Amino acid sequence: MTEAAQLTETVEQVVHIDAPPETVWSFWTEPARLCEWWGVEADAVAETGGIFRVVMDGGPVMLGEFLELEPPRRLLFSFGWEGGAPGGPLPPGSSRVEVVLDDQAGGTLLTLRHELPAIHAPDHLEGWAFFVGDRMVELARTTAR
Amino acid sequence: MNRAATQLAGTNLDATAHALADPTRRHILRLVRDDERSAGALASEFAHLSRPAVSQHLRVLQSADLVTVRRVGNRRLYRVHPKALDDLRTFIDEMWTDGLARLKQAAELAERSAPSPHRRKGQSQ
Repeated sequence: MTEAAQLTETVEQVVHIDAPPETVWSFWTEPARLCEWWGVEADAVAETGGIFRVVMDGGPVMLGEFLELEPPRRLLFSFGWEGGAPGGPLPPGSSRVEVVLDDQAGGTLLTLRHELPAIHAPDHLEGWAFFVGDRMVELARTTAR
Repeated sequence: MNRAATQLAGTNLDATAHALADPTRRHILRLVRDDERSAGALASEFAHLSRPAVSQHLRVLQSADLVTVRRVGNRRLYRVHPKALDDLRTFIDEMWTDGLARLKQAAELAERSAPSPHRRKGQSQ
């Protein structure tokens, strides 16, 4: 974990929701409910290795994979942009999002941590290039044809 | 997401992928990570490459926005461009701020109209 932390930066957000973790969980794992807040179209197979794909309003497509599921407490999935790069280079598989749902007086304290590949901190560049390198090399080969 | 989505930075994934796919260019990025270096100084690091070849690598990195260049006299000084990650971080931050606000709204609305259907399922209330 410490090693991973050295290679990445994390965006963290915390929000309190007046609904139990079970309900909040369903908004992360059920396609119809994902379309109520995140995208206009969603595929979600809530099991380890299951696809997680959300088409955003406006076109960008988040493509990920469920990595760890502990319903209704913790969710870990990979996160990247399919074919494009809103905000910067973040191809599928290049970042991870952890969502923790803590029961809090009938409601839920949601903590989201999005680990981004780091590039500008000392010693991070190599990690970043390594992190996304294989994927990018593959992409570069296919786009070069 | 709308606000963030409309602010799509112009970063081109293909250009970034292409730029990073080459070991010489990755090495150049490491060399200009902490300090500015001139094209000449960089060329001297690569004994097996001609200076025009190194310049060409630098142009590829520059067009992918991975390095910035600053002219001082007749020298061109290169450095890693940290803005790419800052833009990404800002974008992701805003995306989640907007998204989680809508998630909160949607989940609370669902809970008010049909209290804990999922809890009932699992816990036979």
